[in-house]
Amino acid sequence: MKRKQKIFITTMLLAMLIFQSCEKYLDVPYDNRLEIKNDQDLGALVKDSYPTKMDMFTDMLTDSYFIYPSLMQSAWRPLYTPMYLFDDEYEANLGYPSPATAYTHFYNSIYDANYAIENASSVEGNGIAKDVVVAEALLVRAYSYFVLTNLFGKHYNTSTYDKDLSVPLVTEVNKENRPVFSRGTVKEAYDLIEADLLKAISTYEKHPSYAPTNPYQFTIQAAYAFACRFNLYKGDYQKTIDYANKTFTATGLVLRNIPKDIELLTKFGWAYFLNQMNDPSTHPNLIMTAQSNYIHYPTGNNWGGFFVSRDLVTKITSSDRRRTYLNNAGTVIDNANYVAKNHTSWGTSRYIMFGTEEVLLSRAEAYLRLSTPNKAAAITDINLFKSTRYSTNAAVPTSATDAQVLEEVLLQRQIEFLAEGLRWYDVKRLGLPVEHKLDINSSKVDARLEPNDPRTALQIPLNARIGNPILETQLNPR
Amino acid sequence: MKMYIKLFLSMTMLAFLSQSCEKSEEITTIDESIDYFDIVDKPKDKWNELDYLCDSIYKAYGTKVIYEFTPKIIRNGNAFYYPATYDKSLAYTRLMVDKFWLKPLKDNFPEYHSKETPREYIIMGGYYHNTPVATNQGSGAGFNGQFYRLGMGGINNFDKQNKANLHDHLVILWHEHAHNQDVKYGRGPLFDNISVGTYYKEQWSTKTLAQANSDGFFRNYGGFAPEEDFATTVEHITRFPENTVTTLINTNDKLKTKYNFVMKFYQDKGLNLHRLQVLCDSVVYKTNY
Repeated sequence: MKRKQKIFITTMLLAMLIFQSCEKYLDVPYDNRLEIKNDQDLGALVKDSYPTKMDMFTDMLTDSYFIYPSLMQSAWRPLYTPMYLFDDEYEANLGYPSPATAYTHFYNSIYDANYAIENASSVEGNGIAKDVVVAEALLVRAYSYFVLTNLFGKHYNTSTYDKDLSVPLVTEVNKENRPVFSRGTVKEAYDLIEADLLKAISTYEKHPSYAPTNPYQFTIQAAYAFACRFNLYKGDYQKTIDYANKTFTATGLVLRNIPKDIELLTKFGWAYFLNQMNDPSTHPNLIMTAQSNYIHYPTGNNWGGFFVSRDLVTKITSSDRRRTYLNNAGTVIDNANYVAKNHTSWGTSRYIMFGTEEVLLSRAEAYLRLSTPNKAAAITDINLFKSTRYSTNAAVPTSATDAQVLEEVLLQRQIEFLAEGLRWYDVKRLGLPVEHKLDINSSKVDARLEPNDPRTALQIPLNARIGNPILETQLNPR
Repeated sequence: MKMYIKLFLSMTMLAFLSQSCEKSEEITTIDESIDYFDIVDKPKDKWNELDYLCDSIYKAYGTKVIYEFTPKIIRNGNAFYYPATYDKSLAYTRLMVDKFWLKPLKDNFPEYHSKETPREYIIMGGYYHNTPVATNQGSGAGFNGQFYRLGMGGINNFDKQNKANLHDHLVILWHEHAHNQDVKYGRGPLFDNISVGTYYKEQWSTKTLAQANSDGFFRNYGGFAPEEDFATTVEHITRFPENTVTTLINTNDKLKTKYNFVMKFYQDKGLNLHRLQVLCDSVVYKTNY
C-alpha cells in the first residue's frame, strides 16, 4: 500500500512540475520575435524595416559599364552574363545581388512597414510619436514600392501607365495561409507612393520635433529629396523644383567637399578614405544605408567583371576631381576601371540613398523641362555643382542653349552617380539606348536595348513566381 | 558459414569500390583549354640544338625555357601570344636568358636565385596585340603577375648587335620579374600610400618624364598604377648607376621613399639592386658575345 502511495505522490508531483513548466514555457513567444507593445517598439520595428540599396546591380545593365569576363569572379558568370545581355534566363541564385534578391528584399521591408502601420493604433504610447513612426513606415513602404515599380515596371508614362504593370501592391499584413497577389498598374503604384509620401511629409511638417534626425532614417529633408526624385521621374517638374527647394531650406545646400576627401586619401590611404567616404558627421548626405560590401562588388571591385565604359572614362577629364575614384583593374593591357566609393574588402559600407547632389542636379534638369524653361536658374545650379567637381573653371557659359545645358546636366548625373545605382532609372526615363558587347575589343554588339524597350521592365523573378503563382500569367511582355 | 558471409561482404565491398574508381576516372579528364601553353615533353631523339640548350639551362638553373607553343588567345578579342621563330629563339636563349640573366644571377646572388627565379620562362615572338603598349620595346605582356612564370615579348626583333636594345630588354626583364616578386610577397599599403590618390591611370602616356619625376614617379608609366610604380622603381635602379639614382631621388621625397622601400624589399631577399645594375651594364656593354 505504502508503495502505491509513493508512486501516486511521485506521479502527482511530477505532473505538477511538468504542467508548471509548460505554462511558463508557453508564456514566452516561441521565436523570440519582438512584441509590439508601445510606440518605442513600433519605432524599433520601423528602423529595422529600412531597405538597403539592393538595386545597385542595375548599374551593370546601363551604358556606363561593360563586361570584362577575364576579370570576373567565375561564380558570377551564369548570373550576371545573361543579365548584362538583358536575358531573363539568368541563374536562379539568391546568394548575390540580382532582381530576385531585390524583389525579396523590398517586400520584406514592405511587410514590416505594413505591420507597423496596421498595428500602430493598438499599441500604447504617445499619439504624436506613433503618428510620426507611422509616417516613417509610410516612407519606407513608398520607397520600396518606388524601387520595385521602377525595376519591374515600365517607366511612368501617362499614355500607358494604366495598363503597364508594376508589382503587387500589398498594403496589409497577410492573414491567410497562402494568398496570391495580382500586379497593380504603374499608375496605381505611383498613386499609392504619392499618397504615402504626402501623408508622411504632412505628418513630419506637423510635428517637426518628433521627426527622425538620424541620417540612416527618413528625416524631413530626406522625405523632401524622395519627393523630388519621385516628381522628376513622374515628370512633374515644378514639384521637383519645389521639393528641391524645401530640401535645401531644411538642410542647406552643402555639396561634398572632394578636395578635403582627397586630402584624407593622400594622407591615410584608400582604406581610411573609403571608410569615411560617406561618414555622416562630415558629409552632407541626406539619408544613407549601411550594408554588406558585396552589394557593389560586381561593379566596384577589381574582380567584379563590370567596369566603367571606356567612353565614359574619357569624359571624366583630368581636371575632374572624381577621377580620383577611378581605379585600374587587371593590368595596363586590360584598360578596365572601376569606381571605388566603398570598401573593396569584406565588411560593411555606407551607401547613399539620397544625396544633396542628386537634388541639385534634379532641380537643374527640372528648370530646363518646365513648359517655360528657366535656363538661367539651371546654369546657376549646374555651375555651382561643377565648381565643386572640377579643379579648373568648367562653367557652362550663359550663351549655351537649353539643349546644351541639359546635355551637361545629364552627363554630370552619369558621372556623379557612378557606382550609386541610379543610372538605370535614367536610362529608362530618358529613353537612352544601350549597347552591350561580350568582347569590348570587338565591333560586334551582342545586346541592344532600344528606347522604351520592353526589357527595361525587368522580368518578375522566378522566386516571386513560385511564391505567388498568379504572376506566371502576368509576366512582362518580351 | 560466418566465413562465407564475411567473404560475400568483402567481395561486395570490393565490387563497389572498383565501380567507384571507374567512375572517378571518367570524370578526371583534363581540359587543355585551361592552360595558356601546351607544354609537351619532346622525345629526346627529336631534340634540336635549342632543346639541348634549354635542357642544360633547366639543369643548371631550374628554369624551363618554353619556346614552342600553340598561339593562344588570352583575355578578350584578338589579343594573343605567339612563339618566336626558331633562329631568334635560339639566339635569344643563348645570350639573353643564359648569359645575361641566369648566369650572372646565380653566380652573384645564389641564394636569391634559388628562391626567387621563375620556374618557367616563355619566349614570345611579338607583343600583346590590340593595346596602346604594343610598340613597347620590352612588353612583358601581362602574364608576369604570377608566382612562377615569367615571359618576354618581341623576341622576333632580337638583334644581338644592338646593345642599347639588349640592355633595355634586360632591364625590362627585371621590371617584369618585379611583378612576380610583388605578387609573391606583396608591396603592401606602405608603398601604395606613398603616391595614393595621385596616379595618372590611363593618362600616364600624356605625361613627360620631368612631370612624372616631379610627381614622384621614376617614369610616366609608373604613374599608371601602384604595381607599375613598384616595377618601374626596380627598373630605374637596375637601369642607372647608383650616383644617377641618388641624384634623382634627392629631388623628390616620394622618389626617395620609394627607393628606400624597394631597396630594402630586395635586400631582405638577398639582392642588391645597385650591384645588379652594375652586372646588367657589364654583361651587355663590357663582354664579348
